[in-house]
Amino acid sequence: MEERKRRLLEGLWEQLKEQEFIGEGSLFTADELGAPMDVLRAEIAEFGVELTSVLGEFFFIPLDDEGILYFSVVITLLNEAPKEAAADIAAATSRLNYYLPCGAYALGNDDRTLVYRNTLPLSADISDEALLKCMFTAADVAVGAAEGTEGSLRLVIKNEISVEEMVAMFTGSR
Amino acid sequence: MGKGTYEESRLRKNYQIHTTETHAVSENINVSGFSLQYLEDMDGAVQVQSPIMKKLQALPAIPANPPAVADLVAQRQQAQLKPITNAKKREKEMARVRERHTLQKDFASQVRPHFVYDDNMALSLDELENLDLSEYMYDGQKTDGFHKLVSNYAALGALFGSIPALKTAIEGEPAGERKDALLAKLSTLYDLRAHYAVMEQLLSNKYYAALPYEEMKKLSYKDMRMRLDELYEADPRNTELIDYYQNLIRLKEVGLSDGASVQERMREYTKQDAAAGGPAAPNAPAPEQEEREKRKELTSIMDAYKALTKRLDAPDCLMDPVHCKLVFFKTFAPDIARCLNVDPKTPEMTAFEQNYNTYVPLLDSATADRSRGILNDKLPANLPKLDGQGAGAGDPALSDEQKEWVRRSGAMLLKNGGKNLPLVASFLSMPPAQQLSVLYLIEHKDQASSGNAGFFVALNNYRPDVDKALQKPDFEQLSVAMRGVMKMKPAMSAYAALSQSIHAADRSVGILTGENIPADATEEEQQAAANATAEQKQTAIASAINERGKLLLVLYRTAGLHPDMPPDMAEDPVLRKKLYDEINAILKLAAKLQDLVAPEQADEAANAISYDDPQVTGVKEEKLAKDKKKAGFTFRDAVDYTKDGLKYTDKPFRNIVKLLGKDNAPFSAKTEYAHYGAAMGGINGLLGFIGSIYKAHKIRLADGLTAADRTAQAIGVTGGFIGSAGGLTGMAGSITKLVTDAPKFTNPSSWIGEYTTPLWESTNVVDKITVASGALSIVAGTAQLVSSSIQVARENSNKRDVENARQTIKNKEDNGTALSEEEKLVKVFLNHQDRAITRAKVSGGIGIATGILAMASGVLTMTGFLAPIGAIIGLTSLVGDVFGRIFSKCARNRDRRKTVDERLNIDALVTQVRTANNHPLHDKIARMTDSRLKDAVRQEALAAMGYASYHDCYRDTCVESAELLYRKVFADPRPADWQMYRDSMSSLGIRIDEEKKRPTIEEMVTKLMG
Repeated sequence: MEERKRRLLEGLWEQLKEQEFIGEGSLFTADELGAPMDVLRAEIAEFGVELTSVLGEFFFIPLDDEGILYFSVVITLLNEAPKEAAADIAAATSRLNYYLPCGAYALGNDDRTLVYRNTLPLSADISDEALLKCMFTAADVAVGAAEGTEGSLRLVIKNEISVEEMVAMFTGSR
Repeated sequence: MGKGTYEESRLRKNYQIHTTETHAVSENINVSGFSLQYLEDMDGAVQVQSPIMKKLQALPAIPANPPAVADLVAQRQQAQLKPITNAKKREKEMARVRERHTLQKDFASQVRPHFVYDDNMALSLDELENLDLSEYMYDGQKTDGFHKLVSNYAALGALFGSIPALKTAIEGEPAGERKDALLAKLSTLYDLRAHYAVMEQLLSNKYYAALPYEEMKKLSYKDMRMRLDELYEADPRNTELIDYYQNLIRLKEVGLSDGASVQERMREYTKQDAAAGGPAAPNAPAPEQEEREKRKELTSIMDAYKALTKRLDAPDCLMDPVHCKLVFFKTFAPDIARCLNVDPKTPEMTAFEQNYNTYVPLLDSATADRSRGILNDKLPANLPKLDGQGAGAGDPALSDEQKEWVRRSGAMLLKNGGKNLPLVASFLSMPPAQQLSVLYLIEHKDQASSGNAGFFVALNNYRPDVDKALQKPDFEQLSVAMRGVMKMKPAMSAYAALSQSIHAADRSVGILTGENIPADATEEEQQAAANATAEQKQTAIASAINERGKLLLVLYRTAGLHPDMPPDMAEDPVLRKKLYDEINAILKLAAKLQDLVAPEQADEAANAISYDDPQVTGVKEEKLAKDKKKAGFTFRDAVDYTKDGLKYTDKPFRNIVKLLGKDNAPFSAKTEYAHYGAAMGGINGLLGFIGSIYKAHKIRLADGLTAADRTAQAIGVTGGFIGSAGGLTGMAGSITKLVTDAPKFTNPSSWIGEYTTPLWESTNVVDKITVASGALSIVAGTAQLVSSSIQVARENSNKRDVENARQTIKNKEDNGTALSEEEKLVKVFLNHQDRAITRAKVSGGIGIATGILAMASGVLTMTGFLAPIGAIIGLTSLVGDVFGRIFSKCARNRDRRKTVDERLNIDALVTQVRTANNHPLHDKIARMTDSRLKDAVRQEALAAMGYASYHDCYRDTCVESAELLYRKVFADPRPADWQMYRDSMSSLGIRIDEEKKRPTIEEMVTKLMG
């Protein structure tokens, strides 16, 4: 299984690096990271309104369910969210999550890390090729979804707009 | 390039810029009539003041009794403080007010309530050396700093009084560590003194008692400036409150708060002095080491060259290799020349040398200045590209050191250019002064907002930290900075042109008065010097004053200062210094003029000078009246006015002379700008024209901006200043802010200068394809525009909005009225809207669900059991999902690229490129696939306009459209076609709040980009 996962991640990387929105990246083994699984880390370039670079991580969650592969995408949007904004961020993300078709924004325990994450449970029965397709789609949509909304979150964090106003931006209430 | 300490110190040694004088922060903060520059000329100093500040100087004495409740309420209100409703709290506050008032009276009764300099040295240099200045800082301790000031007045007075004597003593010391340490202490002492001097002033102001000082001092600089501006605009002015705020600002600028901050300040000064002295020159390195260093550097250059060549050879690179290599060698030439004499050389080195030698003779040719891609001949003249040629005349002159640094950074960028080579080429084609500005912006992006006031000024002293900034260049930052500079180019050129004309005027003054004949004076000039009549001298001096006046006006406006404000209200110390320098220069000139003016001439002015008097200003009535109607006021206007002014009067100095005739404005050689002097007031009178200019135009309420915005209309100051009232402010640290705030010609609220053609106005490369061809609302953006609303009802009203707007345009077209550029833009915008809506309606999917959910007018909570998933259903079934139909990043990119391609008409370009048979890269091009060629052509076209990528370009377009909408919808008065813009804006789907001016530009861009 481990072998397969690693192969899949490598395959994913092959596809991703062709994309222009992906910058540098590489597959880190579990040993290297001291983590329970391999992680493919890639730089997502020209992201969001500010066209900055963010970190994207792709991996399989090491759960033991038989026959199921949990493919996970995590995009780190902020490493150092201001502490004062933690409450606002929490409120904003939970409102935003309501409207997201897939994945979710989440605030880490330290109140400072803001990520967008999505996990796809995939059946281990399907072919590698099919799996890769799913994984790529998941990655593509994850980046797209996160990008589409991070701008408004950013505005909230900077205290430019309130959470209500942010929601209004999406629901367009007038 | 070698980067060892040897290199650093060598460069530093050669390029020292600093002086060893004190450069205290408070140097240019004028307090209580004793500006620290006062130290220079202590006797007979005469102060020049403007009428407003004359009133201020005679600040009424503190009332004998503390303010009554009613007064207190009134005064608090004036300061925009909330009234205290709670009775108990009010009692407490009253008690504090009384306390403060008592302190003030105490203080006033002391004999010398101002720190005065005397010739005594209250302490010796040794004592000074051992003195812990932080002990003298009484703030931050349990008792209020003011109390401590009053009770320790004598001690402080003695200490500060000794400053001039101490300075003399220190200057007599031999150079070395002790001197440096003493100088640092002296600078800190200056600051301490300034701090207390301001507190003294506060104690003489009745508002000190009335207002809660602790609370007031916490206001941000911006808030204080905003309030100050409002106070200045009021008529009549509340001079005491103005004084209060100005002193609060001064305290902020001095920036000391407690003992620790004093220590900190001293450390900074010590560091600065040490840096100024430069590190000890290293012993000349041993010859072998030197040889080794040279080798290392040469190898590094060779590696860079290899990388460059590799890049040029890459199948998708269309840069002209010959030109690029020329640029490379030109940039690295000095270093190569120096390092080539290593011995022995490796074979690679010899090969490299030969290569280099073939290029050497070409280095001086004009074409070496630009590395060309294939597009250069094809891009039309009016495309807003960064054009190296054509700049220059008005650019600020760089010192040699600066040129060297610019060269180094160019080299760094070349080394690390990689796939961004076209952008680097564009950068390098900018004139050196602009390159320097770009580097400055990148390094100071965080301060770009407030720092911009001092931007032009700071360029004089700027030394780029090349290694830090460019080690791993962020090309996106680079491109944003480039575009920012490009947009500021006109203003910069204007500024530089002024500098040059001032220089010319000074020279002429020097020659004609015979005081300063330059070494390179021509025969003619020397003749003129010998025969100069009094009148010629007067005219020359008057012109010099005039030129300087223009500059001062520009600086003031750049800083966003009201013309009557004292220059020390400028937050940026570099700008402050510049303002002071200019003002002092003017005063010196005025003094000279005064000496030359015969008494009879002076008597000509019998009546009071009115600043509005056209006789004085020389500006014709009708022009004044006409221009009073004009919205906004640009720098160009200022320049034109002063030019016109000269036209309307036959002798510029006549007006100046008129003023000089007045008794209460004497100038003497010792005059220097001093306390309370709202310089512009005095200078206005002096310069006549300028006074009328600002009066005539009275900083106009520009379209859509609030009073607060108005205060800081200049570049960058707008960004940080007004929060979300407008402008892309939130992108802290991003210089996108700079780009968007750069003034635009079409924006009547801009002060300074012009703007290169907005993106949407640039015509296409091959044909005159108009804007309507799908420029703006890019497929991706549009879908999201409309689809950002989730209610069908919303969608219906969208459609109505679109209809309304479209009708307006259609009417215009039917009547044969030409659409303005902006309307064309909106038309495109709306076309897409329409398409998107149609598309959305068709794909409205789940029919029944749509019906049910459509009935819900708000968030989908209506049908109970659907509620939790309601949002999701709502997303997919209605007009669109919340955030835009397109989630896939690949798809989004594709769409953006497509739009940008349409805008640049890439297809046509590609065809042109393919069919150009005589192009040097023809073969390479023939081998490229269409899509690769397209990519390469796109990149180059974008780079020519200063964009690092199409994302950049797309974002710019979003920003420009958002700004257009913002400007038009929130304008006051409303433009004729207001409804159309309003409709367009509402189709974005964000709630519009006209009072709060929402959505802000930022919100709109976020929506458009998301």
